[in-house]
Amino acid sequence: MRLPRTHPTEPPPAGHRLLTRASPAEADLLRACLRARREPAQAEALPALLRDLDLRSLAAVVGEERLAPLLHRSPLPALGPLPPAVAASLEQSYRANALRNLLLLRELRGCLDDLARAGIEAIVLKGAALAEGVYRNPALRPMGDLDLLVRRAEVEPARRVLAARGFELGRAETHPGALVEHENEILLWKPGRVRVDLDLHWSLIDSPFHQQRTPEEWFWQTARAAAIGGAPARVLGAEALVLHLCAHLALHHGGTGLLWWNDIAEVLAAEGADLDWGELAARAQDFGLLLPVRQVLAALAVEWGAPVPAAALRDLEERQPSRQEARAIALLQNPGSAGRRFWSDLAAMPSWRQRLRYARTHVLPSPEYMRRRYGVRHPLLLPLYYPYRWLRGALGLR
Amino acid sequence: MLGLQHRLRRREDDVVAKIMDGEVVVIDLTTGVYYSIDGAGAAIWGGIEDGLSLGEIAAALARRYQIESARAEADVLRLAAELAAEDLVVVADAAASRVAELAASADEAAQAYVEPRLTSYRDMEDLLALDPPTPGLADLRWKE
Repeated sequence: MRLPRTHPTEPPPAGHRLLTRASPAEADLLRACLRARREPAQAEALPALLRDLDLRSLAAVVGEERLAPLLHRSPLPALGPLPPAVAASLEQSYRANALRNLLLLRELRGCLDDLARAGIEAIVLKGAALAEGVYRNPALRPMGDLDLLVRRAEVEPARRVLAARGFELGRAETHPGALVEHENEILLWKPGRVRVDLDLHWSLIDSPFHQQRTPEEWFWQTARAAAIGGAPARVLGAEALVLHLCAHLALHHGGTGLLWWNDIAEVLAAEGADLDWGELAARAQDFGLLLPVRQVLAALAVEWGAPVPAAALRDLEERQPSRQEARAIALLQNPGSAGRRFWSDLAAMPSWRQRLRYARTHVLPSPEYMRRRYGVRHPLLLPLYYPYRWLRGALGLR
Repeated sequence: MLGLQHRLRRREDDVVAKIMDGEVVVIDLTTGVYYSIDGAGAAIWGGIEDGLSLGEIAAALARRYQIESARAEADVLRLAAELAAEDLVVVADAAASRVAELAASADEAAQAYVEPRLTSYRDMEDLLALDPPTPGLADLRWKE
């Protein structure tokens, strides 16, 4: 499922249908199942929605969209047409997800304890915060990895703390320190009974334009206390959470993933009544995120029946994104080649000094990085791999 | 043999547990076995975690669900014995309970009494590498 491509300065068409991997009929059924958790009356529509579906295709979509645990606790298994083996598989998926998530949450608790002992504050983001704080049942919400936000100045100390717990860097650096200077997260991983991937963030949006515009301190000032994995933790405040999830869905996932849509619908159902919608819209505009927040909330109101007040949608519609935001969002939603993304990132940087360092990082990575990245077997072959890298970038290959 | 005077505690380093939607999920990290406790098990498990004696748990259970004390005591002792047999809990040193009453959500307290039941799942470990674990979902026949 992807967000529709609209001209970046135009509002999305009202009531537009979001693209999805699922067929429209499958998406309607799955959305109704997910909504039934919040709105039991939705269950009445399920038998009619299920009637003419190709259930084998539906099964593939359920797996791909990571919805099996949630469907186990939806009215779907009780509807009758599902064979017992399928209902049993949904249940087993729910239980296995509970098992996996309990192990991940146990590791998260250890990370939070160790970081706190080192005097490093952390905010729990995405899957773990949603599974515990929003769904209130970690068995329901699959977690691919753990996500923590720390302050930029504390990335290296945090990395050392996590290294002492057995976490290794998941991605080679083009130059020492380049990840912290130019990216917004470090990917770490730890082997074990269940492999734990942990993304250590210091900025929430993977875009130099947004990193320049977003005062990260606002996310810290509005963060709330919570209990995650049985330990005291901090999570994003309600407005910051909605802002981050909308931007993440629209810009990082290209609008794909029923689970991500459902996450925001769950947050709105739980917190919509207390949200400061004016603050959300103002921050979205300030941070250059007006377009994605508007697109996602409008679609949630129409397609998911999410409680977004009409006045809030009007406010978002009436605000005008800056020309720079329109350009940045258009590039993020239509990145094209890696080369195009590279130039747009370069243009968003505030100084020539930073641009030069960024260009060197990507155009001339260290020999050590090149050897690891491309598996160069002989040192004399190394110079040939630089033009090879540039060509791949120009062609949009990774 | 366990008696009502005993207090139990979870084997903290090796056993992880959480109450999810009224069901207790317990994992033995040393074996990879997954346990589910349903019915009144969540209340009993909560009492164990809170440091109550088995007698205190049974008394609180009888009050909450308005069942006979003998029935509550028998169910608590049976579940406690099953948990101990699976090596999920051990007898704790005698200590004052941290709370005097079982903690419960309003939903849970409003439910009718259902006997606690411990179920073990011993074939889950292979699924851990999957995200989410969706065992063969697409390979099953969805239409009979």
